Amino acid sequence: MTDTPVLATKNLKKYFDESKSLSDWVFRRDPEPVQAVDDVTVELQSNKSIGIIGESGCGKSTLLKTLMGLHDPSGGDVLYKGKRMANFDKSDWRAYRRNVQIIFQDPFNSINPKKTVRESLIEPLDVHNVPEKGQKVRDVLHQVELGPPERYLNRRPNQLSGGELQRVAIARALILEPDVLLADEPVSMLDVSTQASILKLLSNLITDLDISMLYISHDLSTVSYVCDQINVMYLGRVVEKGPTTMVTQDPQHPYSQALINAIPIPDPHHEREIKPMDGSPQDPIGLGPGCRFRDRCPDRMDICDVTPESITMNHNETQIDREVACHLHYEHDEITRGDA
Amino acid sequence: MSDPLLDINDLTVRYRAGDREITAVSDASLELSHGEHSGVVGESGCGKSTLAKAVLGGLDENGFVESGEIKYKGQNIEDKSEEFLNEHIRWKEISYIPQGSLDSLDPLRKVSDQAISIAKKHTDMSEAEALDQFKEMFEIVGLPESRIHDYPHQFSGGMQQRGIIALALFLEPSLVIADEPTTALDVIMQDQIFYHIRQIKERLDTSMLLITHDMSLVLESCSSMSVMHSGQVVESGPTEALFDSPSHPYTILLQRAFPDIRTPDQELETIEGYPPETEGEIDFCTFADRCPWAVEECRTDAPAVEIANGGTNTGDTQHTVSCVRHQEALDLYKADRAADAPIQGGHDNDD
Repeated sequence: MTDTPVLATKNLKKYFDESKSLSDWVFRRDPEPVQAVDDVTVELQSNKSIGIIGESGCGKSTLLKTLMGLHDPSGGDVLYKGKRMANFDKSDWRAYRRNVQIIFQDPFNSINPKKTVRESLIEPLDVHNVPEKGQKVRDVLHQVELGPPERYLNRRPNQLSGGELQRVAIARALILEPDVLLADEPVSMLDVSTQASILKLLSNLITDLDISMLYISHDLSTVSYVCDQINVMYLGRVVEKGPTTMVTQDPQHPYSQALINAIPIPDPHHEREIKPMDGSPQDPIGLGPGCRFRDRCPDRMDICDVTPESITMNHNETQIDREVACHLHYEHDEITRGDA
Repeated sequence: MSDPLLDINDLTVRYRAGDREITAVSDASLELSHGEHSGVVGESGCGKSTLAKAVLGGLDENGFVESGEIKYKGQNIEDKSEEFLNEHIRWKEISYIPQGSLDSLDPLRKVSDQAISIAKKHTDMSEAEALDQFKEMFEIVGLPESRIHDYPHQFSGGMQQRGIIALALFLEPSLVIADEPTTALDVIMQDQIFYHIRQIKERLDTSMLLITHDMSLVLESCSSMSVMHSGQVVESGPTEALFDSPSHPYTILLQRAFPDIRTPDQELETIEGYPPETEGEIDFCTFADRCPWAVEECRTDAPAVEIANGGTNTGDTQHTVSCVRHQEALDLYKADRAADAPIQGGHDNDD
């Protein structure tokens, strides 16, 4: 618990500026920014994996891009081993780029179709001047269970299946022996028959290689296979976080409940109750204070116009870190109404 | 009622590719009765969408029906001309919900105008009648009536998909073919769409053929299903029969590859390899190379369609399977897993 997290965000914000509309010119005001990521705090401890779950537009990909250093944060910090990303110098960036690797959603778009597997895998080694390239490439192919390596080394992406290609993408991420893997929906483009093998592979890698992983997905039913802890995001904010099984079995935030309740159950004997919940998330523009889920929430109260604080729920004093940002879950006398 | 609404018999569909002929659907048979909701599941490239397109006469230019028949209400439709299909079948009798709702509506025209032009082309409804009817469909799919005159871009993704469903239901067809209707949508929106699909089942007597890769959806919302692999229908029958006593190795493994949120610790199955590319006549089981229990026979002959489980659980639909080892497949699977269990339990379950 006292260890410095490998990768962390502290009250991270990423806003995008909207272009000025005519009415903005007329009234001489600045346009409201798009609040893609708003006040997100996550901590990734070494050798752990955490999941960021949410629907499209919830800001999970923006969060990932900010972590990769592709976006400058609008507020808050990204910390790598305790060091602020804002203070990185050139050599820090070089080390960061080497130690934090990404696996993208669609291997057919993220791997150069003209390069062979060997060329794709050697490229990061060239960039970072790593010796013993040939041996490294072979070793990493074994790690991702593409063996014997000779069978794959000279193939190009169109000669591989989706599952095999995703393994190559994972191999490319692993070849520099990183501390952190950022995985953006790594199985959503794959067929179910290969999905499980990739999930197993990722989960074994975390155990065997002393790697941490931030796993981003919209699919709650697969995260429990890879993540120890999950964060549920809605419109730029984390609404609930906790150990994966606790959140999936006993969600506390009304949004997490809706999300989990909407997952189809592969069993014709099970009668799942479908609760109609209409509407879809609004655009994250000019949201103002208050709970962002309130317009769709079945339990909406007046107090929901005040931004709920993320509070720790104590589960039989087991010191289990579980947080939920919902007014249903704390006494209202205790909070300060600073936001209102 | 004895005549099924849709009856596909030994259908083979091929695509020309240069000097080769790729077989996308091979000797597939499928039956759908009035008011039934049936699912077709399989991985990408299994031929499920080709099957749907063949029914609508909407195959790509290089695709053609090689043999077999498609009977709709007792009438053969596999060899009918575009004119005939447009005049008598499409929209009025069979309509289609495509996967990519976001580019299926004309972005430059109001949704109501698109409905009116469909009505003009296929019926003799007046504009006012068409609008009334369309409003009713809007209500069934849970869209506010007031928004029928909106442009597609004014709708969110889920609303557009519901708009498409409203259009598909608009002329009250007897059969709706839905090809991955919710794949592009988030899980909550998917749930809403299926809520409305259930409403349709209760309020209109429409049959539905649901084409999807997601077996969970079919298990939840269809009374019967067919499983396809590389163009072959490997198993079909009542959903519960296929769930309780699957008889084809592919069904057995595929079903257990789906994560179930209720049992997060359950070991998921993976199926090695990938479906073969099939050319010309298919005289073998396409699953043989991926099947852990394949025998010599699987590679020398296309398996015949047989009644599964000795025909014990026959309802309206017969449970059929195409596997030479169908009688022992489930036992083989169970025996294999029982043998694996101690080893797997050792390093996969930490707690």
